[in-house]
Amino acid sequence: MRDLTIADLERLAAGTDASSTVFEMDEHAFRAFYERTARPLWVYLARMTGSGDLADDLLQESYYRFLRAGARHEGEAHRRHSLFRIATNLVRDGRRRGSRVRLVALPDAAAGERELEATVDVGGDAQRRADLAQAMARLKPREREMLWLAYAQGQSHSDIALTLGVKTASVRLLLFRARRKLAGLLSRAMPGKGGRS
Amino acid sequence: MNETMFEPACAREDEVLDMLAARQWPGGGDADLTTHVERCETCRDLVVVATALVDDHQSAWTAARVPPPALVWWRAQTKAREEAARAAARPIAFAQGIAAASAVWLVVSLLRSSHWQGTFDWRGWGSRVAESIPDVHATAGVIPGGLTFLIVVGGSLALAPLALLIVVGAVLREE
Repeated sequence: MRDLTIADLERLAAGTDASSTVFEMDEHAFRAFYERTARPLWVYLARMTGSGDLADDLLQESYYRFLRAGARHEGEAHRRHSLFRIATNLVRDGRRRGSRVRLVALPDAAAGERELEATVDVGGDAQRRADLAQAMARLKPREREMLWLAYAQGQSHSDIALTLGVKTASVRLLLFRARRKLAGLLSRAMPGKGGRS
Repeated sequence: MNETMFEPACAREDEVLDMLAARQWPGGGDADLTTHVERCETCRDLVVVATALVDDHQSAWTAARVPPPALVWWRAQTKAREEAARAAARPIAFAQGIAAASAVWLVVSLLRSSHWQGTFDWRGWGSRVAESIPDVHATAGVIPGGLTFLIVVGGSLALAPLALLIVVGAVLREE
């Protein structure tokens, strides 16, 4: 996704008034919803695809599909689940089509790739994140999604079930298995950091 | 392990998770919980996985640069309009196909009716085409100048989709 240019801004200003009736959600409501969800969604997409650029594209497409669907939502949580579900399906579709989705998101991997690291990186943080990325890459996509939503984003089992389209009763077991698998991989990658020996 | 028989492997998982979420682990928990985690494989796994993911999340969160909402909104609007225009153009393309097929049919009829052998009689071809087409035959007989009639009908048929496209485009621009 390219950066915003002056020409874009001009067209943006010219087109805003005339375009307010294309979607059911109005621009004001969209802005508020976007402010609350864009960052966690981008982070989710970046980690599930392993690419900041792809996360940019999928972020735009997720919001577009969300707006176009025009579904009525019972509340903020429901709206948020819909958005994350759309994003999850986009990532899965991309993976099926063999697009640019990379399973290993090594920090500092490719030249030109957006820098995913924090500006201050002390000690072995980068190495730990690289180990995590490699371990995550060895999991099934659904395991990755589930672990990220549960532990990185702190979602409840019912939230995860709604986002991933699985039964709530299944989440606990699937999550337990995924966690055990990841812990095993991490322990092998980082011996002496706890976990299984 | 049967899914329906599954029980939480450790009753203290939530307690550990709360400590991790509040970033009070290690060090923030009481001695009893610390001892428990050292002995409980499930809780040790939880600490390893959750710590790694929380750290990674924080790092990605800091680095995330999302586009402004106005830009995302504008791009979505633009794409929606483009899709609407494409959807509106579909019947036009269909009509153009019909027009093209009709034109081909007309030409074939013309060639057949004129018994093309290198000596084509341009003056009488319209009438002969009209004679060769059962549906148009009666009309051609009534209206003097079958050639003019066919040109008008054919031209309208070819230009109608174009006119429709222009009108739809103008309406979409106004919206």
